[in-house]
Amino acid sequence: MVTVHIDRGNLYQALDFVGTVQGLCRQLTLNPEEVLVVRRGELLVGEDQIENTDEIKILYVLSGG
Amino acid sequence: MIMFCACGQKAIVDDGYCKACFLEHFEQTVTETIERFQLIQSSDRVAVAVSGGKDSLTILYLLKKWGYAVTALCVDEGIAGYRDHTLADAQKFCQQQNIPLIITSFKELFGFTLDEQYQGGSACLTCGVLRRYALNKYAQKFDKIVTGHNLDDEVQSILMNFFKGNLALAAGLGPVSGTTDGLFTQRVKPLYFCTEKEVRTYAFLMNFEVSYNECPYARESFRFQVQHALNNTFTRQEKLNLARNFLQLLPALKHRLPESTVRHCQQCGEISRGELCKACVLLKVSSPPIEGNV
Repeated sequence: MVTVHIDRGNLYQALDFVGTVQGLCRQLTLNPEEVLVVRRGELLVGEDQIENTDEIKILYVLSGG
Repeated sequence: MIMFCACGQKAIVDDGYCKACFLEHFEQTVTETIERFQLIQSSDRVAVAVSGGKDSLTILYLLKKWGYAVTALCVDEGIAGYRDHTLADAQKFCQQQNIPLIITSFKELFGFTLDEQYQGGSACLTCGVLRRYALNKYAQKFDKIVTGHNLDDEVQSILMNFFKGNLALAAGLGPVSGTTDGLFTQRVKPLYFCTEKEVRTYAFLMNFEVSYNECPYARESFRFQVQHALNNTFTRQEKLNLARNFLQLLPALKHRLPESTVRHCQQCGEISRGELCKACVLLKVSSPPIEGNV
């Protein structure tokens, strides 16, 4: 299972997923323009592959008012 | 497939840069913007309008790093659960970076917090007018006010003004705004060509300790709608094209819609484009909004 921690709202989610970062964003209905995707402290690009055991952090880009 | 940077390292952003090349590219973009539009001179006394968020702390950090004489200027609007966090971030950051910080507040200036004044609808109009008033007031002893406005902010503002038919307001946009007549302190935007995502990436890579909270009033704003419509529809390059094309139109827009004369507000004495400044109109006051302070 991929474990996803979304910083906004401090949400955790576990899902069965193998594919690209772009695919993960689609599955989580996240706009790639509005988030950074991080694995083991490293930023990932849309084409990077995510394995089913990865722990992923989603950091929202939009802040403020 | 793994994406690689031109230098051979693994890319960490979709534009194809590795960490080192992204940091270099980002800083170069900001430097080029400052130089191309002559935003800041080395002798300028610079006030950086700081919210404690990623944009303002990023530009504050860079200007300090490049040797400019910077002072952080923070306006506490009084938004519980939001501004208190970002204010704490700003204080910590300025202490770490050894940057002087001036904090003022709506409570101190106007006698109420934004939360206390809020009566439903959009709080952003009130907040924007009063924030500008506060910044103008405190920035008068500085040569420039630097803001953390990024490309996304600017593109949203361009479209918002066009959608609302406010061409005169649109004429005031661009990397430099305000007049040079000595009454207004010029506002400049060195992050003009950096997207919000790029600024967030820079702040992440630099390990800036910043709260990524959203203002509780933000979702009620027109800007919020435009922001998401843009992000759902347009790429970074398309946003960049819009800003660049707007800059080409800007001289014609300024020529057709000359800025109104700057004068002093008849009620509070602060600088204004009308007989009354927007803050006084908004507050409907018959006496200066800042007792003994004007």
